[in-house]
Amino acid sequence: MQISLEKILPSKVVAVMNKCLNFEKLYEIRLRTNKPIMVNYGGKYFFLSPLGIKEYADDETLVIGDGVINDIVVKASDYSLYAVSEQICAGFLTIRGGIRLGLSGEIVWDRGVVKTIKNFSSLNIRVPHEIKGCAKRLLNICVTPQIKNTLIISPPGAGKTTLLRDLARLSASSNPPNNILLIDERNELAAVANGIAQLDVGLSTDIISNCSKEYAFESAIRALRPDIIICDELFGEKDLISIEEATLSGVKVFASVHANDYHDIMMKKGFENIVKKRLFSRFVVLSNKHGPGTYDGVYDENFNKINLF
Amino acid sequence: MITTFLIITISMSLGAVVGLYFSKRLQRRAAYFDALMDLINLFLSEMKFKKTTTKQVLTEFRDRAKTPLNTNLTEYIDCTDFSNLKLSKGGLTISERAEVNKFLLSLGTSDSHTQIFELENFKEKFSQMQNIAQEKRKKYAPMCIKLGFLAGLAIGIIII
Repeated sequence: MQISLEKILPSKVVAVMNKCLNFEKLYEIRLRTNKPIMVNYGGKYFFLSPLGIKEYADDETLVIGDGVINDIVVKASDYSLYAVSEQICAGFLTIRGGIRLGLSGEIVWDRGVVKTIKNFSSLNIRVPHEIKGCAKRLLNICVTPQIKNTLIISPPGAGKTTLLRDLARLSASSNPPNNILLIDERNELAAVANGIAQLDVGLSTDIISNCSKEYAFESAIRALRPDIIICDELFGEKDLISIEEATLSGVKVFASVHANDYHDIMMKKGFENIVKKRLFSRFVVLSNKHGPGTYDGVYDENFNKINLF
Repeated sequence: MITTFLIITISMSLGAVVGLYFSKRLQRRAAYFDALMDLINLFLSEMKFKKTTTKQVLTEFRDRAKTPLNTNLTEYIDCTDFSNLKLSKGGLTISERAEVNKFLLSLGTSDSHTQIFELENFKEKFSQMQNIAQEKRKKYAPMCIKLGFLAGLAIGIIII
């Protein structure tokens, strides 16, 4: 993972990061043209300076110059921007190790469709963390004795992807093992490179990466016959329809959604319906209260709190 | 008599070698542009259909056949800092080399629509260079050895 970052970031930034930062605590690097570099280190934002991290920006803080962000994006695409056009149009780029670059710049439209993004102005580089065992406490609630459709609710950066990944690993390696289908839309969960998952997602996990949930649900349920489908970041009605169809066909689903708590998801378009239909039997709410991955509560289909052991 | 014969033989041989060098150079230039055109065509098809990365296309092309372009491709593939990419001459003029440099540096730096447009432009430019190089090869390459041979003979006679 460190090597992937070293390959794309300017040498000045790499030197400071290697000298002063522990990569285990690094969650995000935020780069903005002509602005100081910010890092999310241990759950808190700091500015990067040649001597390490600082709480406030000053004259010493490292600043991203003109054109640097463009260079980083080209490097991240392995000098092949044309090969990652679809990802760029969707606003992100994933590199080896599951590191995701969120892109912003000028959107180029063509007949109502995003053709590309040009003049990249800022990047949010998200560094994934593999915390083995972080989903262990959920096993007895969501996987055994009976697999329950589970929705992980969390604000961004609170660890839902890490939790889903570990849930995939544990469910796939349970006794008897479950056949897991991992729909990795942004290639963050398994970080597949050349067909090989670089993050541990279990012994009996099939991975479909870089495709929409709609396509994956439609094609894979019949072809791969999974026991559990795992997917990240539900968004929009299409995703919800896919989830509904999958659960009604008898396949169990573990999914995640961006929200602060279960009250919030009721306000999201389409989710109210899903909750009313009781498609999900478990709701796991995460927060950043005591750092990423803090369990705020686990609830059943009636929103009664379940005790975590 | 033997000395005269030796001088003429040596000067004729040297002249022929010089002629051969120029003939090979013309052939090499033409082969270079032929390879460049093949590379652009391969690149266009690979990027349109398979979305193969730049380095993969270049490596595959380089490993497929021995062409005069291979040295420059290796220089590009092995380069870690493209702001300092320096290509060896390979029998090209300064402006031709600059154009090849520009072409290699443009690879993979834009979205597919722009990249295709850029490649078509380079294809047109290199096609003109290819035509000129092929014409010169046809015209002068066979002549170079003969001229070298004759020039050697003339020099030999002058020396005597």
